Amino acid sequence: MAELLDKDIIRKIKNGEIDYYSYIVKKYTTLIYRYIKIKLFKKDETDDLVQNVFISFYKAIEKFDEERPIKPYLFQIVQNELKMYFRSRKETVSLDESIKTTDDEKISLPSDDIEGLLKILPIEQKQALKLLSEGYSYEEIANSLKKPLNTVRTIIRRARLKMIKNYDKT
Amino acid sequence: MTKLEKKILEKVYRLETKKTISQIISQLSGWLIFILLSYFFVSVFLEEVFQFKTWEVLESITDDFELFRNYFFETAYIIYEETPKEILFLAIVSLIIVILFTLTFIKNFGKIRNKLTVLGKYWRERK
Repeated sequence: MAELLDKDIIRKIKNGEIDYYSYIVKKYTTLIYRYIKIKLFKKDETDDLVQNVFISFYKAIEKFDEERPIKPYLFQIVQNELKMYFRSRKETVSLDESIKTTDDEKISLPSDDIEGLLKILPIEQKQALKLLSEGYSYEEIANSLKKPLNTVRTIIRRARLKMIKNYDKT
Repeated sequence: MTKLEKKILEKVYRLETKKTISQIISQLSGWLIFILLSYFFVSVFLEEVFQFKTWEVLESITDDFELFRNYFFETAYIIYEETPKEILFLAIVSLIIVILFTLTFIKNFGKIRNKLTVLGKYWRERK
């Protein structure tokens, strides 16, 4: 039997001959499986995602224009499925969990070490930390450094992290 | 065929079986409901039409063609006035819906028949 073109297969499926969908499954499963496997590494989850991709394509086949190539459309579905997969696996914080704010963070380092650690910081970070240690609020530091409040928060957070990192090293 | 391909196809067939069955059931029930509704509205309409007093007048004037011709518009107006318009409207709407259902069924008949054949074959082979 002469090999059927994708558009003929789609036409037949649209006409109710859904057994022709096996041609599409056979033709593209390996390709899609390999692509997803490279991204996920896990066999079970790859299997599930491949299944979802073909089910989604089947659901959309009625509206699919048979003149268009199948492969890019399938890969678009793969991208969406992967996006959904990674989104669902994103770590979330429970509402009950207490979230540490920058203002509450406290670093307890010996005062002798602090002087040494401050030296390694850039001037901007050093200034911000100095003002903070003098009891100025974030807003006041922002006004003093003429920077937006969130930038000041970032500067201080980075300075703290840098100090902790260097303290751990020593 | 690999195990994964078999799994995919099984899911597709399951999905299609559910979809086709629900489609057939909803179409058939919709068709039946509107057939019954149109039967009801048409019979109520006809019952009211047969009770028109105009028929008696019409009977007497149809004997004389000249009289009938002279009073044709007046008689037609009286018939129009006496017609129960709401029921006529409902009867026409339900009849149109029945016709639409029938046309859709005729249009999709080949597709549904193909689907049922393929699904039947698949589930028979699985047993």
